[in-house]
Amino acid sequence: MSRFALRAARSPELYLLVLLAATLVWFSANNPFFGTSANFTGLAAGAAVLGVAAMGVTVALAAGAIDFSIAGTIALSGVVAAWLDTRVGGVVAILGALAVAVLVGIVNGTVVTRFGINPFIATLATAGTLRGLAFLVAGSSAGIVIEDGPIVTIGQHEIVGIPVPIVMFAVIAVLGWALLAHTPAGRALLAVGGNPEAARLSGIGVAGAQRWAYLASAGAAGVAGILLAGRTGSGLPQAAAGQELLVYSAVILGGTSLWGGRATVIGSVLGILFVETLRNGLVLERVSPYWQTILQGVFLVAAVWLVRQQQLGRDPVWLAQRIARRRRSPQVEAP
Amino acid sequence: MTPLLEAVGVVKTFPGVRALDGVDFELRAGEVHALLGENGAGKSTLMRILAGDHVPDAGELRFDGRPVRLASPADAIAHGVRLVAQERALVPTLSVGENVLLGRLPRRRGRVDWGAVRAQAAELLARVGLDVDPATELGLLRRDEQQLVEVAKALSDEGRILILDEATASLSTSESERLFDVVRGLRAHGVGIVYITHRVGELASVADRVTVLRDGRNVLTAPLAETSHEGLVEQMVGRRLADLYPRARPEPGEVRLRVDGLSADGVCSDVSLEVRAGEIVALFGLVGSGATEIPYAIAGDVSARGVVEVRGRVGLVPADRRSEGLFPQGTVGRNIGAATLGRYGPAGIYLRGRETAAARRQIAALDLRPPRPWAPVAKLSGGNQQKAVLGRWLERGADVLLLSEPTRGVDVGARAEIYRLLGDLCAGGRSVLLASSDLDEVVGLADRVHVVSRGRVVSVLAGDEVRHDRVLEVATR
Repeated sequence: MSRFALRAARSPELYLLVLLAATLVWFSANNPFFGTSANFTGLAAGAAVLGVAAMGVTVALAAGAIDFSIAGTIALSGVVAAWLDTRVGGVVAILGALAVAVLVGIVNGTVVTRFGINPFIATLATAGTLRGLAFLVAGSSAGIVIEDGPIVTIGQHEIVGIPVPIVMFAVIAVLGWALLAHTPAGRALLAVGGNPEAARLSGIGVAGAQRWAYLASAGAAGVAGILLAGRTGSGLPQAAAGQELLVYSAVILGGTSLWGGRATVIGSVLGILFVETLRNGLVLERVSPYWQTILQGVFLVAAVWLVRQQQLGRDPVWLAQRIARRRRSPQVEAP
Repeated sequence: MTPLLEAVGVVKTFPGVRALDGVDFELRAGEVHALLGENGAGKSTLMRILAGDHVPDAGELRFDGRPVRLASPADAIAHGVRLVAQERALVPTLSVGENVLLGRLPRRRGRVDWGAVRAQAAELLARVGLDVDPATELGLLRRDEQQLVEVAKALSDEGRILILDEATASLSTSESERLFDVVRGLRAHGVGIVYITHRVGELASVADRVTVLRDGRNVLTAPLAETSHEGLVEQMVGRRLADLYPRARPEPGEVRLRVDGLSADGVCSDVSLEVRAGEIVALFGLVGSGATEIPYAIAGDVSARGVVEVRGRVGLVPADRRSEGLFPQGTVGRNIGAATLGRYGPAGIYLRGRETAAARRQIAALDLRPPRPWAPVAKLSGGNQQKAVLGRWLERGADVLLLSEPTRGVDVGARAEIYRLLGDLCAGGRSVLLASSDLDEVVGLADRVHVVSRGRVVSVLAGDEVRHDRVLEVATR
């Protein structure tokens, strides 16, 4: 096998792709509706919302910036978009919601880098504040209904037969990949996440990189919030509650490190698709909602364990080599 | 000729410590200026000031005779200062090539030019003689290979001043030689090199001048040719060398530890040895020989085959204090009591006061400073941290102490104390197995030396044969 092929065979992304394909085949075989293009389109459009947020999380984790406030940001930007939409109009609403998300990113970045507060705690705290603000703006838990307009267009319409959220997800994924893989700024983020001290001694500004990281995750969450509001046709203050954990599991599953320095956009895309496929498949199987969450948890742990084995070098190539070695020398030395 | 770099009257104070107390230092173009000193003497503080990492409280830095102020590492880099730090300043999750060019990745139209990264990194790696694919992830490299990557990184563009901090600490002899070749090549090109080390022996191969720091002052600056090995060490320590390895050698008692045919994958094979009460037996091998991992195999930390017989209790003092030996967030008392928690109260209840009392006894026995059980262990010097780890096993009543590199990163003064302590423990009837790659301490302390090469004991030297030349000859054979 050529070196390139070997490296591809050992890459975590390929591994996850196989896992995803197996899941798709399994559900298709079990449910006639699962394999239809209508279901796939719906699945992908749903995945796109969290997928956009996952891109921000991936970029932020590259620099080791943990941001647990993304679900709050999604809700707040959705509610703000809806509120502005009913008063000023769609385009201003979109810009306003994005501005709110950027502000959240600046606050998170400042709290973590300037006040030196543990990012875990800091962003959990801002998450609560953001959720509260979303309820405050919405006025009630019923949310604000959005009439037809630009927001609903980007949430529900199609470009050449593809739903707009999917197109946006794809564009943002490509941008995220290019940033991390091919720009000096992206490499600086990875260096800061991998070893802040080394980055500093190499002349890279650590605090600045981390502030950009928080801006990326909040900005992406803001976009996701607008997409979600468009898809549901309303700004809901309880939107995306608890989904930050789903996004983080998907990103970690893809091979990005929670501790920084290692980030893969392709892995995150596959991770999100895997998680959403699982959810979609279970819904179609008419599994009760209680069992859905239970099974999702079980499958996620299993998937993360499998990917972990891969990271430890116990991948299919390793397995094949091991089996081959056993065959060649059937007598294994007794200890 | 104007010196490349001058530091004049540099003062730096940290809370509670005056790290530098009016230090002068001068570096000329095309010279290797060695900087010697114990840990805590101020050499790393001076180095960090030169690298822009600390700002001095008083005094002045001059480059080419002009005063400058370095506010950040980026400033120092802009002035042509390149630092090869001892704490590996590398990113383990990125590729070797990217690490070499970290902070100055070649770019084309705003994008990273990966082809150029590969080519430039490969050339620099070849210069330091490291044969690895630049695309390899850095974290997969061995320690010594990573050290060479550090050097390659420092060469990655035209630096005028190169600071090497303990650069040979994890290198083998041949790798050190190659590093010296690189250093000599740079010197010939007019680069000024600050060479920080505690291995006085290797200075002859590279240094032109030498400066010794002690307690934050420079006590000596002279051409190397005008100094002697003993003279330099005595300047560093501030006392006579003969006191470094004081040791009574009691009549050995019964066999306490017997190892027979011990093999562990990737560590050692077929190792046999005996340690009696009152003996210090050494496992010596060059870096990478596996000698320093054998205590782990004996203690059962690495799965191994073979026979290990112990009379009494065993305590393992690991090589890496910070990551394996200590509970760095804890106090001295917690560190000492950690292996005997069940003893500090009735019926499985833990009473802190009893632990503290126990810790006080060990602190007194070991002369650990500061003598306070509640002092945070992270604030202690390397030597005193090592005493805390030893204290934990003594508290547990260990009769056989397995030590791996007990003085790595410990300054000369504290070493002397650890050596005296080991001598005292043996005089008290305990047994010590000392695995080390430090030739001086092995020869100075051991009754017998098992020389290890590629995981095997290739020779056992005892009595008159325990000499520097004999041990080294066998180890490098």
